[in-house]
Amino acid sequence: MISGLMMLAMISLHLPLNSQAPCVMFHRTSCGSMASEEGFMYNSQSKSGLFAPGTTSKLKCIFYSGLDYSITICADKLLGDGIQFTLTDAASGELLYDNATDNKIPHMEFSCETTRNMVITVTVPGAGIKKGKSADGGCLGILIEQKKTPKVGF
Amino acid sequence: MKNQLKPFALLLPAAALVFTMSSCGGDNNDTPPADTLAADTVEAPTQNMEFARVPSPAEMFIFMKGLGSATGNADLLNPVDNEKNYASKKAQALNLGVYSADLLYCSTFEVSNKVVGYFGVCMRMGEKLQVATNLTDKDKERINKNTGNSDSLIAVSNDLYLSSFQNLEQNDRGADLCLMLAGGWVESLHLMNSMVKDFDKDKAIAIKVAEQKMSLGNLVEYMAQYESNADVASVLQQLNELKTLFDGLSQSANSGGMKTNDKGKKVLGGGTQIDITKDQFSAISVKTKEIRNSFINAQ
Repeated sequence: MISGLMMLAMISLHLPLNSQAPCVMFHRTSCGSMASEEGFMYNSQSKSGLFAPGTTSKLKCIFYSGLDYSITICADKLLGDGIQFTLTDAASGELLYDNATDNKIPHMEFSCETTRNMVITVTVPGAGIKKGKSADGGCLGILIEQKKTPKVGF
Repeated sequence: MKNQLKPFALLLPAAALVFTMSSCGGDNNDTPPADTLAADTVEAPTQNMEFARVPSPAEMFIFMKGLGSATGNADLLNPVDNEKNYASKKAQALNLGVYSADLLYCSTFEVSNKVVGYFGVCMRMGEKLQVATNLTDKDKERINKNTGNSDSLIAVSNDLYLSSFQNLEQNDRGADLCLMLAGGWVESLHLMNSMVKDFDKDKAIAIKVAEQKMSLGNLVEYMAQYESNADVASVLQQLNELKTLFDGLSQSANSGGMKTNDKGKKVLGGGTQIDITKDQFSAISVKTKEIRNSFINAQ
């Protein structure tokens, strides 16, 4: 009975971006929001989850032309500072941005000339969990915010 | 926050059972047979999991206001009185989404005299579905006091939608969330379509409608995870019929990647330009209306 319950518990922990209660609002409580200073609004495509070192997960989101977007990655300290995130085109897989070329800073802002479906891929540094070993997990959040692109000129 | 996976698993087996039974996009095929795992080990989480997300009605409306009329038309909305007809869970979940989109439409396009009514119906629909929200009587007071203040109304209306969304997601109510997303998306598209009065003059709006091809693709992908639920399956079939029409739109590739402008701002070029003809727009508009009517007439 106990080993059966433990099995169910272990199976559940295979889902890093599932709605695991400890993490699900992490991006709203822990990622630094641009809202108050820059006029950005929360974007409902944001998401958080429970990650372990060495894991990767992806979020496919729509980014509309005419809007400025802010993407902020935040994570529990035990996951380290060097979290990598990339933006790729969802259809072609073309790499559009890699924060590895930006000293792995966890934040970027951009606008799109055309509306796009893009994949945000986050990778937590580490070797991953080896079979036969236990591992610590931590929360990771992807906070997406948007505002209308300011008009310039007269 | 340090989470030892091993003691977490020991402490919350019941919660783990819920997560296992209502997984959202997880690939449980990687789970080895029970007899190959020792009692105190945790297998690595599944790699390369991808989650499709869908913009909210607020995010679909935000750029529409500058393209068409600044004020909305209350006649386009699902009448509040229809609330009494929604007895089934399917009808309630779909129309929580529909009414949420209507509330955001009223807030965005200054149909101020309808805001209180749609706010109330959203709260009541949420209660029927047992969707807890973070909103309080103070927020309701804000709605009443801020009638006429568009930005505040949009913020509170959006908070109501987001709190319903988050509550359903947090509690692994994926099927209900699918239906709410579908209702909100279809109603938003219906309202966007209605802004095209003259196709040639309103082509910029029609192009924004065409771009919803992408958000529909993500919505269908998200819902496919729950198609074992009969209500989700039936709505998914309807959306796939609409998707067939969107799939017929022509698209051309643009050149360019991520560049930095002279103000130091990153601008992403490239992507694809989707075009739409008058006949294609008409077909999409008719199909959207057909699906929307099935939602608001559901019982």
